[in-house]
Formats: sequence, C-alpha cells, structure tokens
Amino acid sequence: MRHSSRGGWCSALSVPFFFSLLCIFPAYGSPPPAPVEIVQTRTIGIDGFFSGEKVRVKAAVPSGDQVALRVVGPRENVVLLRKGRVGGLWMNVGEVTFKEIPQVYLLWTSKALSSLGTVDRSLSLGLDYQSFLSGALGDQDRQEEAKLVHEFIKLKEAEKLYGIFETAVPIKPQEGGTWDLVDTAVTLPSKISPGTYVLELITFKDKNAELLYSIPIQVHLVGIPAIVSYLAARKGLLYGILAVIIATISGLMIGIVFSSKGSH
Amino acid sequence: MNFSIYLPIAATSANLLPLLGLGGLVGFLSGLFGVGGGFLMTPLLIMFGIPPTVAAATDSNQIVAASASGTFAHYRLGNVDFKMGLVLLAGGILGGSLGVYLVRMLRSMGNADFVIKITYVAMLGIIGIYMFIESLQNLKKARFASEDLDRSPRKPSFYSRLVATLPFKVHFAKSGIRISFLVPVFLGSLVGVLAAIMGVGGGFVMVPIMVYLLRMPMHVVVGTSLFQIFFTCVDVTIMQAHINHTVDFILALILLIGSSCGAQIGVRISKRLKGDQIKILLAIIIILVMFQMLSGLVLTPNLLLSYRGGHS
Repeated sequence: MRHSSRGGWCSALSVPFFFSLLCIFPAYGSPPPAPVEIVQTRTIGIDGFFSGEKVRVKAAVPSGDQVALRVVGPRENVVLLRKGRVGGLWMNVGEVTFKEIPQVYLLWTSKALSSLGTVDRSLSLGLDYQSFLSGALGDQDRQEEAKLVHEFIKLKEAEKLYGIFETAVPIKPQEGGTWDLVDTAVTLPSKISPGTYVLELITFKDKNAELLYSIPIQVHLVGIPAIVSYLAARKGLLYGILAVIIATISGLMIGIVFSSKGSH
Repeated sequence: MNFSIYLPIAATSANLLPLLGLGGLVGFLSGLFGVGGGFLMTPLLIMFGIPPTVAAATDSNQIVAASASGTFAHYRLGNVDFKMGLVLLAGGILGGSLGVYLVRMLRSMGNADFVIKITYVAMLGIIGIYMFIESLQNLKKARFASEDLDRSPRKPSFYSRLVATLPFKVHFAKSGIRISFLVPVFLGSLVGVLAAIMGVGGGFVMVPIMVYLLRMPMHVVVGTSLFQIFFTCVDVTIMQAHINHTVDFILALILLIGSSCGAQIGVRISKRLKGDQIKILLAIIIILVMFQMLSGLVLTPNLLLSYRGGHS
C-alpha cells in the first residue's frame, strides 16, 4: 500500500462538532515521511439529539492524484417485500433477499467516477454499487437482477444510507508541488445504526487506484437512547407495560388538565 | 434552533414539531369520531422515515394515550357505555384470535394481500357511501322536521325482527337499547376478525356497526368505541414490545402529547355537532381513505421494494 512509501505528517485540528479523522500534513520535498498519525477518537455517540454527524477529513495526497473517500458499513442480509401487479393492481407479491451487502455505502470523489480508473486488489470493494450488489441476489436472470438492484439503490438512497457524490472532494494544490491538500467534511446520516464502519481514503494516479488509508469508526448509543434501546431489546415485557402505563397516565393527566380548564 | 430528536428503536432522527402536529391531528380525529387513527398515522410515520414495523407498533402505544384521554373526556360527558364496550371487547378478542388463523390460512393459499386489500377497499367504500347518503338524507329531513331523528321510530327491518327473536336479552342503559348480548359479541367478533386481517384497529368498522346494527346514539358510539380501542391498543402495545421489540417509546411520547391534546379538542367539537353531522364528516374521511388506498393499488409506486410491516 502506498502509505508505506509516502506519507508524512501530522498535527491535530480540532473543530467543534467535527471529527478530524485523518490529519496528514505535507512535508514538501522532504524524504519519505513518517507514518500517519490519528489524532482524535473515532467514536460517534448517538445521543437524544443526534441528527447525523459530520466527519472532518484532512489529508495530504500526492500532487496530481485524484481522491475518493468512502464510508462502508457492516455487511448484512436484507429481506425486502417486492411489489408487482396482480389483476392490474399493485401489491406485495413476494420477498427478495440481498445477501452480504453493506448497511451503509457512501462515496465522495474528487472527479467523475467514470474518469477515476480501475480499483486494485487491495480494495475489498469496487467503487460503484454494481461491484458489491451484482450477485447479491443469488440466482436471478440478469434483466430481473438489474431491475431489483436499481430499486434497491433507490430505496437505500432515499434513506440516505447509500450515496455516491461525484466531484464533491476539493483538492487544494500546495506550494512545492509534492503534495496536495484534501480538507473536507463528510456527513454520516441520522439513520446510521450502531456498529463499526470503515472510512477509506483512496487515491488515483494514471487510472490506478490505491487504498491510502483505512480507519474504523465506532458508532454507539449513549444516554437515553442507550437506556431505551436496552430495555426494548432485553426487557421487552417490562418495557411494553411501562410504555402502556406512562401513555395511560399521560392521556388521563392531559384529560384532567383540559377538563379543569374547561370548567372555568 | 434544532428540534431534532433521536428515536432509538426507529434508529433515525426526526423533527419534533411535525411529529407533535401529526399527533394532534390524529388525536383530534380520534376524539371527534371515536376511531384510533392508525389508518392515517402509520403511513404518515413511514413518510417521516420511520420503519413500517416500528410505525405500526408505536402507533398503538400513542393510541393508548389518545383513547384514554378521549374516553375520560367522553365519560365526563356521560357518553361511554362501559357494559356494551366490555361485551364488544370480549367479542373482539375472540374474533381477533380467529382472524390471526384466518390470515395464516390466506397467506398459505397465496395472494393474501390481494384479498385483504380488495376487501378493505370495498368495505370502506360501501360503509362510507352508505353512511354519507344516510346522514345527508337525515340532515335534509331535519330541515323540514325539527324532531330528533336519532330517536324517531323506524320501520322494523328483517334484521330488526331477527335480532328481536334472539334470547339472552340485556338492557344497556347508557345506549338506551335492550338487545340479546349475542349480537354485540358476534359483531365484536366480526370486527376483531377484520382488524386482524387488515392490521388496523377496526374503529372504522366498529363505529358504523354500533350506529347501524346496534342502533346506539352517535355520541355514545364515539365514547364507547374509544373505550374499546384503549384495551385493544394496550394489548397490541405489550405484545409488540414483548415479541417484536418494535415500540419506540420516545416517538410514542412525542405523538401522545399531541394526540391527547388533539383528542380533547375533538371531543369538545363533537359536543357541538349533531349525530348526523359527525356521521357525514366520518363518512367523508372513510371515502377519502378508500380513494387513497385505491390510488395506492392502481398507481405505479415510487419504489417497488419496501421493508416489511405497517398497515399497508
């Protein structure tokens, strides 16, 4: 991997509400730089007011290279209902299972995807959706598979869990001509689930891609969401009874408040 | 100012204000018409990005609050027939259990969704149109005759004569009727079967049944329907939380604040309306829901894949 032969680097930049995950400062014209240093915790806590999170990425990349950043979620099997026409009416006609696909796939590139080039074997996934969705349905005829994959992408993009954002990563050329600077913030959606995600920085030179850096991001629940989630998952019956009691008392209390106001 | 709040079971965040407004609107309908409002709430929650299974289960939880609030308000107005509510509830539990097996049977035969949706649309259409025409005629008659049409003598129909022959007659004082208790048990069972098949609370079917088949006064119908819905939703909430872990209490809490307040306003407005005016408004909403369901069946959907769960 290229980071063993290039590199350089590092100091922290902490911006409120932003995570500086990669910090790779240039060492213009210097000999092979020191290994990358990670400067801040890569943990995102989902609290009661979580509405997505911006992750700041600041990196030096070899001058002239193009860049792709991506966040890939844990793989899972997804079972979905499929709609079709029966007697001229639309309704659920069966289930489809997408096997071993990432929960989240978000990609930001510095240039159009088609102009970036091919990926090499060091990458676990290709860049476009087809590279991991193709074959996810098992034995399906090609036309049918293409149609279902298209619908699946529409569904995931509507949830903001999948997305490809071309020409969304600015690269700033630096003096000296050895390194360019990537300084951007990528947004993780509010629908992101607790789990381990991977943020990757890939560079492209002469249509060849290399994984420059890969770091895990831990997402977990904290505070009230953690308590509620624990109760719902582990103490379902108690949770249900509590939910009913609180709802009943709230409803009656509001009724009493209204009736006392109405009596004046 | 950021009004986003994270919903841990739905695993997404949502804006607080539209959720409060949505709760208020559904609670208002609940207090006014005696329906749970699941037909409206669940699809709207799905539109807000809530997973269908969580939307349906959480909806039941918030209806517990709205129906408690509405029942209390109607009780203070003397509009709840507890005896009739309990008999209907017993029938509903019986029918609900039967309906679950019926759903399993339909699914094993294939095309269950087709049968369910077509039945639902047809039933809503028939009930809505009948209710609309009947209420309109009554309102027109009321212009010329000032007598209370709810209590005017009716020509005995075949149904009335049949019901009159049944044994085990019980007097339901609040509703002002004397009827064999087998009738509400049977009708409650019928609604329970339909509710289990269609995955909704059944208020839409129960209210017209109380009005037309049990001949209860409209205001007592609304209060009694809410009383029954309360118990149904308590049961559904606990079962969903225990078995499927899909009740999002944070979401339910936001919705129930809105819906409990909305239910109170609905009850106050219902107090000022005549029985036929409430019926005609409910008929219009039933017809609108029928058209909304029909359009969902006829128009090509935006997405041909969806997650499991929900009412649709």
